Amino acid sequence: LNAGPVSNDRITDAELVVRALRRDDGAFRILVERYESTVASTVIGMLGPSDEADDVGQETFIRFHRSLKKYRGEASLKTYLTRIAINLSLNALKRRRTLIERFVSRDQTDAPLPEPALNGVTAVDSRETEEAVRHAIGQLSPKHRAVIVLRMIDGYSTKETADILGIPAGTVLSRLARAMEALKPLLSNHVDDHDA
Amino acid sequence: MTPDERELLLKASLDEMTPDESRRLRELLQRDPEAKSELERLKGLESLVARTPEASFEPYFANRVMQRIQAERETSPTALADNLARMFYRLAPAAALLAVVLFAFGAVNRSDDSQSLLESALGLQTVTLDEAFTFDATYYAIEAEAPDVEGED
Repeated sequence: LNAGPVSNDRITDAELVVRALRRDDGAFRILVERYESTVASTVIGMLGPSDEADDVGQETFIRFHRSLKKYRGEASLKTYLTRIAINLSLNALKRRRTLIERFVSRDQTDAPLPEPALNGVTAVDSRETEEAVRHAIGQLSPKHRAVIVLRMIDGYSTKETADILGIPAGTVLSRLARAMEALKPLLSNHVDDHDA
Repeated sequence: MTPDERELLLKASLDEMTPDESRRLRELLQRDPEAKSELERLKGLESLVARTPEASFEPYFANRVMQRIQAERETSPTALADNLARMFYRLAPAAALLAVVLFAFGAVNRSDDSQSLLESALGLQTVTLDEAFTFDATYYAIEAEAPDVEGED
């Protein structure tokens, strides 16, 4: 692959986008490396560490590559990529749910649908607190999960979270409140440990 | 606790309050001791979630992305058109130069002064109306059949 002559980390995103538009793969590669952790945080926060998350992460950058011409720079590249990542993650969760519904027998459908294990963790009372947190987030509905990941983990403000998800800030807060309510019983032991 | 009060506590735990909301929070905390413990629980939970370690993809993520982009580029329906366009852009200057040389050669070697510059550049012969309608016997010449020599002896 063409690594290109570009290697300077000081080059702005806008310059790299212009170069990438001229089919400079080296420039696009720098953008991927620069925002890989941003996309990973969102996608892995939503889907858990898995091949699926890696695939969605790749797809995020491929979609961005396809839409380079449309990127006008109104939103920061970080926000723009996060928007793509969160939408693709929500789609992946929808597909995952459809798949589970297809294979779970009718007599089990009244029970809550099991979320796939996050990195092999299946029990809430996991020893590792961070795995417990990931698992607890995995129990949330996709829309509640999205606000928790963006607002609490990725560190976007409520307004930025609202912009990324295309919903009012008030809705972000009400979803956050519900998500926190749902997380409370799942993480109560860990919160107590943390407080102590 | 009302939903409004819960939202106020959430905003307090997120540190996103307006001055008016800060005043309302102070009043709530003075009025309701349960609100204070709820706020502490929320802060603890938020801190716990926020401490989630930074996630990262498997190594060589950028390589995988670039390989997929390359593969997509090669298999896309526009790839052939793109390749042809690239070839055109490479060959076009050479073709233009060749055309200019040939035109110049034709123009310089004008055989007939009555011939226009364009005709000579394009290597066209001057043809008058009379010449056009003159039967060219040599062009349509038919070889005369050999005489029948049978019985000559």
